[in-house]
Amino acid sequence: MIDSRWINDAVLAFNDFVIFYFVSLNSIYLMLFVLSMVAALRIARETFFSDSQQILESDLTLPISIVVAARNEELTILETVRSLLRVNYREFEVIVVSDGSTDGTLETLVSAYGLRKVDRVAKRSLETLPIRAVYGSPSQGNFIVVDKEQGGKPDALNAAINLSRYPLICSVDADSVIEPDALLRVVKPFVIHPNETVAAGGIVRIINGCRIEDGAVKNIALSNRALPILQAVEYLRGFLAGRLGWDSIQSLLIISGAFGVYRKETVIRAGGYSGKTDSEDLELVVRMRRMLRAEKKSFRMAFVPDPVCWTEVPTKFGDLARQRSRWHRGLIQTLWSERTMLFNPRYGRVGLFVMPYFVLFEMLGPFVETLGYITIVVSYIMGSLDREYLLLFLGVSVFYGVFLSAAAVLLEEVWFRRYPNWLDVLKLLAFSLIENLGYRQALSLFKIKAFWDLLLRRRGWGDIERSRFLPADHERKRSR
Amino acid sequence: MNQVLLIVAATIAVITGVVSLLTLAIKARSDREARRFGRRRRTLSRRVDTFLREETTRIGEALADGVGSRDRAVVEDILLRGIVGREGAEFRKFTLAFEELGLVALYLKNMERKGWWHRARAAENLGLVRARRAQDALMGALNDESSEVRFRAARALGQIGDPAAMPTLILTLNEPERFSAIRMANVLVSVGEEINDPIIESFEKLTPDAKVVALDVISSVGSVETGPWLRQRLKDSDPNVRSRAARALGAIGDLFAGPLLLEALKDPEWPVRAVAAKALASIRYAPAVPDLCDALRDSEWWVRSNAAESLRSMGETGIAALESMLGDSDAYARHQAVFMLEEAGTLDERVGDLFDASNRRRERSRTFVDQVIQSGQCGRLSELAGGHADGEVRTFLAQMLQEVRPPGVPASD
Repeated sequence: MIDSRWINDAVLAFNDFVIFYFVSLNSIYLMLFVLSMVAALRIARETFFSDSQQILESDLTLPISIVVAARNEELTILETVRSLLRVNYREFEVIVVSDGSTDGTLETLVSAYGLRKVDRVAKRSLETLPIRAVYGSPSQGNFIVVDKEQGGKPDALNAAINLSRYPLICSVDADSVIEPDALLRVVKPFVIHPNETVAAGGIVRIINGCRIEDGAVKNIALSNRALPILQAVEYLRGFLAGRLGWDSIQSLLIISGAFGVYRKETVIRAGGYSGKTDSEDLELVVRMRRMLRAEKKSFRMAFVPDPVCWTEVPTKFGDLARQRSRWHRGLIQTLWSERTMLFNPRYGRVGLFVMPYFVLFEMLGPFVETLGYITIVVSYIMGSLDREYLLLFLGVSVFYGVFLSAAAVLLEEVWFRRYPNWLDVLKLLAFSLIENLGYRQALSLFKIKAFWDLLLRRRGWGDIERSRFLPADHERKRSR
Repeated sequence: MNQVLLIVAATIAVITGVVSLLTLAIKARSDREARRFGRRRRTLSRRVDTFLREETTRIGEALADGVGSRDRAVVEDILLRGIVGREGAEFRKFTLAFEELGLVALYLKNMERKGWWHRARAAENLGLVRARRAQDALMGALNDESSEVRFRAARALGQIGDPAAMPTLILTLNEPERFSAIRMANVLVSVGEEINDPIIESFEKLTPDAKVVALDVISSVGSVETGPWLRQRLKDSDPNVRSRAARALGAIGDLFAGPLLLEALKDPEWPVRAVAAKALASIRYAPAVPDLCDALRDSEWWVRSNAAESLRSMGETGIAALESMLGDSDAYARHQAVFMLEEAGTLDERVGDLFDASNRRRERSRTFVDQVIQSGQCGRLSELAGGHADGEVRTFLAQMLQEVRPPGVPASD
């Protein structure tokens, strides 16, 4: 048995630090949850009066270019494009960029829509790798497909921005389906505050388990697999109890790349999407914030929980590990590249509170949590494991986490009620508990791996296995 | 300290349990309520239908066993959904039902409530019922602190349709929020042609943004009588007013606006030029063809694009003008011309004529193809060279594409 006083003291001091850290972190989460509750109440009251039709019919509603970066997405791209072409919006175009796809992504689109090569003069506002060809559809005048050399998602999105004609850009992931009224709803902040709004994002929900027909979600249900349900709970917490709260104090740092609308002029002025980080959506939002604050411009970035984008999430642990590691790399890279904003009063509450929060809790949190578990093991080995400490640690890290997840499910059930099936609500509640017993800890390890990847200068997206959007009963059969 | 934290941990666990139970209870309650509401709705809808069909003017008689507090919401929902689109005697019966059930009085009372959503909903419902006795309360609500209430009140006043309220309604376009202005515009459009004169009278009292919306209202109402007034607006100092006026002139089809729109096509502000190009096509002003050809060389893409589309929509004369632009020295003008001729199907048509029996047609299409290749935009031609139904055409096109060296296309504008 190891008996060293200073190690013991250090472990005890670290224990106190961990408890303090988690109490602080979860208190911030709790504060965000309360803010989210208030915001959800306000939004529910506002959305009682549906104004979608007026936005749809108005000449003053800004037209939108929907941009999709696709690389090897032949299994899902058709459903995505179908969903985009049937959105309920007055004036829009859809630009899909095949970023050096090596599968049949381009051919699938060319054959499905009878595309043919067209000449389209584009203003090169943003530098991109060369475009090989632009295809247009004789039947869908507002749909073009771009074939370009592989330059990564940011490069593909920048190419789409160059070719776009409209003042608003909506980025949608190639494995996602947006609801028909989603654009009308997400554009509302631009309509209400036209001069200030520069970006708005909608909620991303999980498509695994839902039945998709002709580019539309016909039946909403949770998957029968554990991993997508765990992510469903996590997404609910992240969007409903997180982003809604950040939005209510005008401190959003991220608008999901899966579904976000931006003012094109601002994006171009900020330099477009950057390939320097692995999380181009987060990086763009933070860079835009920095630029606009430096210019002393009054601006708004909004999160609207009503418009829904359904996206496919990893169903395999390895894919999830790669995805989360990449997201965390992107977070670290972004925080590093925008470090001048940290504790800088020039950037208001984002500089003084939000950025430090992201560094201390989002970026370094996985380390503290994992070290917390390690000290429990060390204390046990040293024979100094304090049962009270163990309970406290579990209380502040695990139970608090369970509470926040369950509270997010409550928020969902009170205001949004997207899951009609009783079984799905029960699943969400059960997985609020399960999520904190292993899944969350695994995510921490994936995030720690992100630091390791950065040290080894490993970059890139990694391939995530895609499956065709299937009817729910197919998935059930598959999972048996 | 640790004991306190332990209590906190235990409390969290208990609260989590409570939250979970609460979620399930809410789900159970909302499901049960939805089922009950649906069931009662089916029953009460039949009774309301009976009331509407029969001679009686009292809904209470049709509902037989009276309306309990829980059923009142169901009946109200049936009436609110049912009243939309009703006119004449049917509408009158609905309003009698609202009055008899005390709903109009309730809405008036709700107009005084603290929560803005109560006031907004009340104003909305008063508009649906077109309750004239609510007019004063609604006029007062135009100054409400909540823009939602202001808008609902304005819409209700529009639905009631009292001409005396129109000037006040128009001034609500001065709302600083653009979304409110959009919605107010819809209210005014729904009033119809009667709104034109009050708008013209109040125009100078409007803010610059509101003027733009007011012009859109006139454009949407589409009355040609507003033409002379709109033509004067083309000389306004505000470019937004000029462009919206140009658009409105196109929308109402003012045939006398041609010469002024031609002047607008040379406006220093590109949004005015772009809209003027489109409006000229809307009124089919044939003398504009040469000026629209000039606009194909404009420095702004929107102006070039609109001018090309306008030429295309002007029929044979416009298509001929686009063809004449294929040899233009301006690369952008050539680009727009080729693009629009492709869209119009002229390019495919000319390629089909490459081996026509008529010498004249053959020559014309060969010159056309030659010019398209010279323009540097050979995407469609290359495609036809690979996939045209006629093998002779394919070979000929492939040969021409090899022989004729294009001068190059601009990489950017």
